[in-house]
Amino acid sequence: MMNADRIYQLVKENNGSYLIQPEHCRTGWFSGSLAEGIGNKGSDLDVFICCDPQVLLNNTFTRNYTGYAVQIHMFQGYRMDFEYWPEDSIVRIAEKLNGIRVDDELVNVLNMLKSEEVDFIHRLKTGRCLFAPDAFEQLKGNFAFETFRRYLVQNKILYVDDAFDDTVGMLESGQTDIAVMRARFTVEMSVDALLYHRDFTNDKAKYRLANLKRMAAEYPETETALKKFWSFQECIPPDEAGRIQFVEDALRFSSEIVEQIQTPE
Amino acid sequence: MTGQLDLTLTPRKQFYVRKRRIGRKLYLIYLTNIYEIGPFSEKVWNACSGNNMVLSMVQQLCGGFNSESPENMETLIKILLYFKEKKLIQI
Repeated sequence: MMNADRIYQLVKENNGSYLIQPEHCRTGWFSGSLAEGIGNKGSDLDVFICCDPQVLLNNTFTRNYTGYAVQIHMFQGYRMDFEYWPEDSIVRIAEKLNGIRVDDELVNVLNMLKSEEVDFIHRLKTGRCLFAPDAFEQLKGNFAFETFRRYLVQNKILYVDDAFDDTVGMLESGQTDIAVMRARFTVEMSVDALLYHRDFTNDKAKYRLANLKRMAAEYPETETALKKFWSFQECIPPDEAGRIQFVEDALRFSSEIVEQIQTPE
Repeated sequence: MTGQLDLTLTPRKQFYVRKRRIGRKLYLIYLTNIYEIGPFSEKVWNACSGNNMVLSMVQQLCGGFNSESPENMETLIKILLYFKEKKLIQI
């Protein structure tokens, strides 16, 4: 499999021939798992285009979504998705993000951003410019990426809290087997929050382990978290006492992570 | 023994309690029971690792047995007993 730099170069050299109405395409960037170096042979190439609104109005696409459209091509044996986003849609997402008051204790941030908005912001944040670098940087400049990181952390901790309390309630009701599954989910949500805290903002569950490995490589002090996370995936004890201990260990691990995240710097 | 607490005990946080910082406030949460705690209570909570004796907490957090600071042994013991009463720690 080609490495991320090689794929990027190929896409950069060839994307122009696939563009719809290139005169109305303001900038474009390469993003996704292959660009981030965590993809696999089955991964798609993802190209994002910031375009004028008429591109969506005047053309036919493979798929149409609310606010954007996708054209699919095959390139060098990869599926290559071109996502066309009108600039006004992008600006609306930026305004929505920048308006989130992550420091306001009276504001419940739960799912304030839709999953496609989270994905878009992450793709822009981690994307590599294909053309019009000035326009690309200007577009990125509209987004408060630090607010994005902190929003993701806070939002994910709300998921942790919900799963944590579920687990306790299940355990106290004698539903040990169900509590074990919920405890494992609590751990997953907790490590997601840790990833976001360290600015790994890819929210795809399928890349959780890959991202934990990247984080451990970049921040050696998080290697323990990776090992502990893996220990909760490896096996579920067959006996009742072992399962209760599993739940206890999982919740302690979750608390360690969240307390670490919430400790003022 | 001091008051109602053996200084050689090693308090440990209950696994089902979560500490959360919301804005500037700090809470210990056990399902629907929510307790707001102050900075000294947080230090005491953090020290409840299951490895620290109450004795060493007094030395570490209160500056010894004869401290005249509000964060003294008496306060620490009161906090631990409160945590125990609310089933937030095992001791």
